[in-house]
Amino acid sequence: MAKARALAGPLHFPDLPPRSRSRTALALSAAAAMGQFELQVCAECATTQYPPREACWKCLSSRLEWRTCDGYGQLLSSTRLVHSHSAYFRSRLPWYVGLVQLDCGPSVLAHLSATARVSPTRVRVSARVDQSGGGVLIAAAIDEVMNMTSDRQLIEMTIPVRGRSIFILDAQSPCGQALAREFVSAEAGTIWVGHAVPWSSVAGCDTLTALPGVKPVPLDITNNASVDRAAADIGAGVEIFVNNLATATGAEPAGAQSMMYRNYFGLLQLAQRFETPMSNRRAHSSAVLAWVNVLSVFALGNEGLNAAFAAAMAAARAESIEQRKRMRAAGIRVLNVFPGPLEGGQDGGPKVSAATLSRAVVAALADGIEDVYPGAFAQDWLARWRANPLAFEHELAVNR
Amino acid sequence: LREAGYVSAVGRKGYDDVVVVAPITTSYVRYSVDGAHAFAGRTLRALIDSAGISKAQIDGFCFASFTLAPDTVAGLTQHLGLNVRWLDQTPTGGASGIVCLRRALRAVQSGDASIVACVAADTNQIGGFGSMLEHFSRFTEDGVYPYGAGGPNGSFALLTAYYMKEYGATREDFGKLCVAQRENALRFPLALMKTPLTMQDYMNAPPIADPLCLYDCVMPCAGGEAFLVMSLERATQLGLPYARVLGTIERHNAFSEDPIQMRGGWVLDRDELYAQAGVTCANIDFVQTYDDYPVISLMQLEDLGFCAKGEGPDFVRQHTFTLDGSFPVNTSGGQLSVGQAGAAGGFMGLTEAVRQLTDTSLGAAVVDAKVALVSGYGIINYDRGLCTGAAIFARQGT
Repeated sequence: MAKARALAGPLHFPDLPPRSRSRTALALSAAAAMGQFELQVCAECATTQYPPREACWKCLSSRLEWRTCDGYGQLLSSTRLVHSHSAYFRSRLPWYVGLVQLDCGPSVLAHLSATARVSPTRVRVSARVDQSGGGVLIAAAIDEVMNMTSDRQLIEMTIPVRGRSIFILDAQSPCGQALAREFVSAEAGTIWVGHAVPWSSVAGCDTLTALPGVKPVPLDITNNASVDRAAADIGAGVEIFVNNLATATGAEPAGAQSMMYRNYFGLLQLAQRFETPMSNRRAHSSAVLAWVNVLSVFALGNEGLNAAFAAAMAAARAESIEQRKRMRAAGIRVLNVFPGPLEGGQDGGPKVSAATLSRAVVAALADGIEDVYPGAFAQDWLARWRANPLAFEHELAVNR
Repeated sequence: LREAGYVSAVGRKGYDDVVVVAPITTSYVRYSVDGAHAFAGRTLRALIDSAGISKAQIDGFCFASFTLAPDTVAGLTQHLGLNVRWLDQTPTGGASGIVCLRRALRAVQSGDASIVACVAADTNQIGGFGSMLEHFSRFTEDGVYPYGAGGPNGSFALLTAYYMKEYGATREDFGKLCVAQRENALRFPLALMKTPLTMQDYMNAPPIADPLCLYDCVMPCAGGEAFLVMSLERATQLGLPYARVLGTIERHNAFSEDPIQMRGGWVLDRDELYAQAGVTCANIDFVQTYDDYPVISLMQLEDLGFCAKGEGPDFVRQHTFTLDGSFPVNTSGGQLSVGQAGAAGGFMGLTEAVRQLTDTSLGAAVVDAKVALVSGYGIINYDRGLCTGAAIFARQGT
């Protein structure tokens, strides 16, 4: 009975910010999920548009292109809301918003950082996604180094790490261990680290266990009973779940079946066991939780040596989108990290070190960024893929 | 006043042969479990009863509402058993009274309809206002509601804060208007606000969205408003007291490049309004502004030429706004003291003005009032109201 109820999901859902957006505005959300502020600019008359439109208000062209906006502008007017129609905001009042006239033209309504509450003042607007996954604009004083987790309002768009319980699935790989060290530096609370082989046989285990808060958890993703046990032991306590299976498998040559089993079926399994306890935890707390999938930019296609890995990453990426759909409703944010080839692997091109990748993961949490492409290789692929996914596909299909 | 057959400089005909009769304000309640259809029905019945006509005599119908979904006015004809040869629905919110009037006047003048019922009705179900706000418009959904979900309070807080800084208005200036309107409302039996409001009450009210406090914010409610438009000849035959229409204007999305709204479309059209009406500001005996928030009343007084831009605060300090004041405004108490029944709020000033000019006031009268100006403002689609309109009415025989 108790189990049936647990599987049915939480009895309460957390209050979330308004999530409804037009289809056009989802492009703003997509850029915001990468921490970028993009607005539509008319390809014919160069007029910047806001709110998002489907026809240029000036010349009626339908060629509106999403372009990066530097965000500089003037805060014209601001208000402290002490009443709201949304339960989410009601429990977070007072809430500050303001109207900013961007240097590029339009006036935008934005959430205000604590440094930008008195008008008139020069501000810089940036974009993030809120806890519902919708893109929102944030205005901060231009000389402010944005530390979102120290701002009462902006922290709502981030996933604070300090004092939180982290679960890193795989601590056997250099990347898993670098992640653990990075979370320790960020003053996380308990950091559970998974290991499939006896902990004492894991290289570097002593140094890791000596770090504050780090606790080994036996976990063999290929063994259902092992996953069940781990979920029962720590599932209810996990606040930030880090699926880094791919960083362990990426480097190893392996068959398609085992690649797929670990990275795709493994993710399904983990989601099934851990999402419910995490959702239940979230339902009774106003603090946002997160699930991080460290995948690979090869999820977008394959150009290297390991087509099976790319296929497994593509499958995991597809599942992560489903996961986002499920978990957003429960108030849990899903972060996807897509590095290029990791150091130590056999692929060509610029490599990402375990330390760089780990820093990117922890920084993304603190900065509230959901889609992360760390390193030059991943950025290059992202740019080509965004520019024209079909052309990119053709590029990959050329035998070089 | 103008001679019959006058055509304005921009070629618009006057309204000498058409009139407004049977002003109705009815069924105001704070909350209701009923739908907008119920309020439409009650209002239409009050309208025909008041005019002493049958439903079958209505051959034109113009309707405004925010809460009729999923129906439109077409479905409403079947719901209410109307059989008409001219039909319209005005999605212009607080400008709907003026916009309905303009449509109806021309329909009757052209002969497309002979008696047009102009009706606005909205319900206010508990929780209904919030969900209406989230999906109020596409720009609201994308660009406003996710930012604190303050609703119109948040939008008007930003305009009010800017106006205060720019033009030196104080909270007391807005308060003076609100207090005067409450005094008017105490003499209007349908007003939902029934207790006196002092300046001290106003100043000490709980904050809602700085600088707005409780009494700056209109209270959503349910209710209906209506009037009939017919030929002067028909009104005379039916023995109905009528108000004449001297001039009207409307404008949508004016000054769209202003970074924040400090003026509305009235500025573009006011010369035409007064020219068509053949009167000036000095001839106006009382004004009904659209008053969901007092800052918008000040903007209208400026934009309609009663004072220059930015002189609203001084104008307020120099005048009194009660029924017996030096410049009577919102003589039934306005939306701020009667309540805002959705789109019916956009009719309220018009019906009250026609009552005053036909000596059928439900409360107290503005003594010797001959000419009235009614203004409308509506649809905060994103950061500002898009629709503006105004009409000047005169007493029968002036």
